[in-house]
Amino acid sequence: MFKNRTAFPNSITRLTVLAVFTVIALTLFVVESAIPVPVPIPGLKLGLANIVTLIVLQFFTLPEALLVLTARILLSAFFAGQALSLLYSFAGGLLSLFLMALLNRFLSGRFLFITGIFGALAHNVGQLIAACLILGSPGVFAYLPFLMISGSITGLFTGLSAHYAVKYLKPHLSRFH
Amino acid sequence: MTAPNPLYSDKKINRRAALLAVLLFMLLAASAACLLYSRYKAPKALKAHIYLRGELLTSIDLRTVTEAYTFRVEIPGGGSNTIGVKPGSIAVLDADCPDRLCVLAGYTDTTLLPIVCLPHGLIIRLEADQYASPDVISY
Repeated sequence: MFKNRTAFPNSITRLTVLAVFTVIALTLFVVESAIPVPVPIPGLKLGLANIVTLIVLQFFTLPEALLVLTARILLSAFFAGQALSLLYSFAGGLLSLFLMALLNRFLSGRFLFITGIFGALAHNVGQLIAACLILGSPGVFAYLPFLMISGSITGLFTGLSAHYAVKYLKPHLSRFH
Repeated sequence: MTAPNPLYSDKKINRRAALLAVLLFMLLAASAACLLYSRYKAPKALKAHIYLRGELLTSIDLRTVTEAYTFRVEIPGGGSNTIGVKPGSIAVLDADCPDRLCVLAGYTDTTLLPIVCLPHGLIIRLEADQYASPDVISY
């Protein structure tokens, strides 16, 4: 997994491109948090920032995707400003990232929308586990069926977005892989 | 841009994708079944337990409430939730969390879903008392 890290192009180029992706993810996160959620289901969201995670997973390595994800979540705390939200984000983000990395390998980088759907579902499950631990009540899992259905729809959307983004970014970014 | 469409190549990957699709379909079917089942099965809530970050703050017997009242739950580290209680139901009337989903949920009188305020770590668990006295069962 580390084999290509410093080969080509150089690490400064990699770092710069990863920083740009972090900014894009952060922007998507802020835009999304400005969109009001119309239904009272905690954890339901579009997950636009996940598009960036999927793209980074396609062109870079898992440790680098982890870096972008961590930076995005930490920085987003400045905009959301809630300590607990940080924990939910980490739980959901990490579980989602690892499952997506696994599936992306399993599907050798194709069918990105399937990876996106499972990533969204893993995000919801991770958040519910965190919520269950923090709130001290397994009652939050009552929301799981709702989140599975909504997560499939939002995951399909973000997955397809990533699929088309990857298609157009390929000529420019494939040298990073 | 003459690369083959990544959606239609390699049999093995297609099979794997189909497997995942079937898995997803089963997951969705199970979720839908859960939702339909719980919608018809959820009993009326008789008790409300308010937890803040894992600690039970208070329990309210919704049967004994005769007059609507409100009270505030202060969140350590800033913020508050205003809880409203009516005979038989409970709601979060106001909150200064970012998403206010708990407020959106409104007055709840079934055990179908708890009222959750994720940013504040607050949950109102609704319970149908299975050890209720006979007169309550007839009610």
